[in-house]
Amino acid sequence: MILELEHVTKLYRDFKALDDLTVSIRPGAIGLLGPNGAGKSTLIKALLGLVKLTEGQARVLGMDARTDSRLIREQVGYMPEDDCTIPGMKGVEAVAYAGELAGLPASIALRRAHEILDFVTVQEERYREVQTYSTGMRQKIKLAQSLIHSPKLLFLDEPANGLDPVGRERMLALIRTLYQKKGISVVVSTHILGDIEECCDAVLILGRGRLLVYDDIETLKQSQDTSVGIRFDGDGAALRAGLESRSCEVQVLKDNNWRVQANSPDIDVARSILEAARDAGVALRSLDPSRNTLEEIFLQAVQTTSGVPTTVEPAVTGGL
Amino acid sequence: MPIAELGYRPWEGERRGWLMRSMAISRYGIRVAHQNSKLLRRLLWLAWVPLVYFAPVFFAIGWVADPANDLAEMNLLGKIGMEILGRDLVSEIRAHPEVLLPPIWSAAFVLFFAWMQSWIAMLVVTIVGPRLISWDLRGKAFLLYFSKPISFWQYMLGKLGIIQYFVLRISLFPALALYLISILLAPNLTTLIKTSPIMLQILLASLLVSVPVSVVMLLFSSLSRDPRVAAFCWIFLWIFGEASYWTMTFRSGGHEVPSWVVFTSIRETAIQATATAFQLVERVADFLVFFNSRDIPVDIITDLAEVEGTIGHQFRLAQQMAQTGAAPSNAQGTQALLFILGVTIVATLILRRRIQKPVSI
Repeated sequence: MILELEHVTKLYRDFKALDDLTVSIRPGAIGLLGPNGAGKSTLIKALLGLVKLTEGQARVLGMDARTDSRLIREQVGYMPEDDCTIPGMKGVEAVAYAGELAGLPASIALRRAHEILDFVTVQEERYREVQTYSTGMRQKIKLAQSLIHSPKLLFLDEPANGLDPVGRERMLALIRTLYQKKGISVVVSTHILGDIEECCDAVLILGRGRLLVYDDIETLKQSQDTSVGIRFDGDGAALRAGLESRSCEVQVLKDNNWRVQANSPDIDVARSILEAARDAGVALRSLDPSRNTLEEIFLQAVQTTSGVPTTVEPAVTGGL
Repeated sequence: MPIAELGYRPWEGERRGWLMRSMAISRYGIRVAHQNSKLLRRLLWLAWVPLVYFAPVFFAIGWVADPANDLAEMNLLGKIGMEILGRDLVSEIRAHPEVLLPPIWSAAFVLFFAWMQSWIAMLVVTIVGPRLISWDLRGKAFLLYFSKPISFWQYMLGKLGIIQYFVLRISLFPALALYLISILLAPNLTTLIKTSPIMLQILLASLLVSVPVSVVMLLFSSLSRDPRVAAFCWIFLWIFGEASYWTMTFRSGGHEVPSWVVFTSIRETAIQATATAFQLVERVADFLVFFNSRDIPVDIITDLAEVEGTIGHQFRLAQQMAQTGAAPSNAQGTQALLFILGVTIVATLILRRRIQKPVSI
């Protein structure tokens, strides 16, 4: 296990940032998902020993987060969400500096800085001051800084934050490479569901400091609901007959608001609805494919956390 | 596996020790400070200017104190030495150099620190210090430091090292150069051995001043993301303290001010600490007792005792001790050391809270 949490609780006065978390996390690429304020950053800081736990015990790579925080930080890399720049430093110096802080000899830190900047595809820009970098470049420098001391586990806090689609895709590809080819376990903290689905094989969802789910993404996807919600104007009886003749079940939610479920996984529900509506002369007002389990849980977490739903970018799965 | 794969490779080497990580922080900080301030680079050169005055003085004293040199055939250096010390003093020093040279050197080094180096040091701290932590606050660099295996003490030591380096370049290195000049002109090996503690005293005096000054500056730097706040606090403390000290000194109408008054001024407190490190009062008192017993007037000490401020106070204290025959002691020096220690501890504790706060939220 890379992480073992037992009743982990963190209180900031009366506010519970982490609420009785108990979970054991296997090596791999893990998405740490939750809306803003869910406790993701607090959990990472607690695991690094930067935040003292109010209750419970946390172990990182078998080491106690309370007593062995320095040893943990030798084995763990952390890419913070915020820009951590030191004015006047060039890119390669900033990365080498991070290496020296982790205990690498200066000459080795500089050599590794160049190697890792090659890996994260920072070319000649490495000789420019970090303050002049674009957001994407800064993200790469932060990733390089977190990797320089050869960590066994990497915490990435919003790694694709502020990146354009191309930059985001490159960052996620780098993360995939890290755990698939380099054997580094990665915990990616984000509130963007699509990022998790693209680069992780397991997900841990937090909401208001509580653990909502921890499971493999594939397992969660297997329980995918294929039902489709519809709204329509017209003859409901004819539509129901048409759907039932196409092996679909109808659940009436309210008058002309139904949920349609196929009896067999081979049946394309949406196509069946369209054909039945055409035959019955019914006007469809909306087709609403159901969300998969991961997304539903995540949205549930968002809804229980006030004032943040606009920041959510759920991935579109299934449907038409 | 490719034979020439570019990119990430794991590293399994031995990590460097505790101190080296602090030194990495200091090294980068020193380089950035050097790059960013032309004024700083000029001040570092200016710190050597007092040697133009003090080096000939040390040469001159060394020349006249050496019995091998014939006073009847004095060169220019000899004449300068004779002018500074007086003929009677010179005769005694030539007879007992190992006894009488250490107090003279102690006094000269304290004067060297007090007159120009202390002012340059204050200016250098004003230039270097304000950005050290405030820039880390502004750039949120704390997370970079503390997500690595770095403790608060390593971070603080690293930052402290930056100010230390510049202050020591102003105080320690020129003083050591002066000491080497003095050694080169030492009359004999005995004098060299007798005065060798001065080298340690130079180091001690430099650290006594530079460490508390650096810690206080770091504390100011941690108060805000804007380095100007730290600079303002420092300049206010310095100028206001200096003004308060001199106002109270001049208003005393020639009487000695209470001992706590010196603590209103950082610079005067630093001078007091320097004098204590060199055991100035005790040595000058012994020196005066030696000459009083032979009825030889020591005009140079009388002149220095008339100087206003901490320097003059030290020589007046030595005169009183020599006259009353009291055992050499320096309660005010002890107070200064305790004050410096207290300020350093309190500032460190506050600084620790200031640094840990942004990391833990």
